[in-house]
Amino acid sequence: MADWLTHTLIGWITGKTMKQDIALVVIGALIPDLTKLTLLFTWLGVYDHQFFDPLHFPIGAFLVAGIIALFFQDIRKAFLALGIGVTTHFILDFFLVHTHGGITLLFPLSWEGWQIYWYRSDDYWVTIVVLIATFLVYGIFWYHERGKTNES
Amino acid sequence: MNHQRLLLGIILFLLLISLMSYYSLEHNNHDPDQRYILENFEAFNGTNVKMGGVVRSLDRTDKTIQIELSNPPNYLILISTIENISTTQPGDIVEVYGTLTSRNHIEAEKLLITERWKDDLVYLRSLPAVPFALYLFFRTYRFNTDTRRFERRKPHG
Repeated sequence: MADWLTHTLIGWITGKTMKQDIALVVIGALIPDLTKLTLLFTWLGVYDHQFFDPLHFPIGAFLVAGIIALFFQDIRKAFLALGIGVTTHFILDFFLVHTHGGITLLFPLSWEGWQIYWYRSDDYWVTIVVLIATFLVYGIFWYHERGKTNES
Repeated sequence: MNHQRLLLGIILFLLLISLMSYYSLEHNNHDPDQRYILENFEAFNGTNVKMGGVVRSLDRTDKTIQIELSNPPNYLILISTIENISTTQPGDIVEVYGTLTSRNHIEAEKLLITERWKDDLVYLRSLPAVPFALYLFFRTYRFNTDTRRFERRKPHG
């Protein structure tokens, strides 16, 4: 997995540039890692039979996004923002280096895993680059908004 | 409308639980986990498997690494490799893909070694993400206990 800071920052950048609900895009970007609930069971010494794995598959993550969206006034708008966040998560994780296998993108239709081995999860430079990109995007939008305020 | 939401919620929840149960029951037939592989060693002997764990000891001359599997029952596995392990230290994290040649030995085809501090750093830099996401969310939304929905704190906020 890429670290959560990178996921949230990519979600923030995506929400900001696509003019979506940033808060929900960021929450959506973390949904697939609900699969980490498995760590709690490992810590308790309980074998969970990989029960939580489908949360890190697109269908599982989008179902969770659908359930969360029901707690908002505009379900479609909330689902769209959460779904965009979920998508950024999978795009980022799709390029992680593993020894074998990848993300089970088409489950339950296929058990095949897909992955492009590009960067390692422990590569902190990815986080640094994304952090710089976030500040850049924030700066650009701040400058743009300030320009608009000065005009009016 | 509220009944429709509730019904939709129940349907989505049941779908999710069904999917998770199906995966849990079937995954060992398609993508077996390391516990299942070692408990059914005879079926996987000579086949390629993927495992992961923490380096417990290593022999740089013989190019072997002994790892403790990351999940219970935390078996010890010996990995033989042709890759350079001169900088590998006990405590480092290993992901291996290779041929299972005995119950506790893998002939590595691919090896991914992560230094301990770099692995810890992944979790450390994940920590600020939680308050950041919660701050963003609760700055924008509040939970209305009457409607049982999240509402925007201010328009276009």
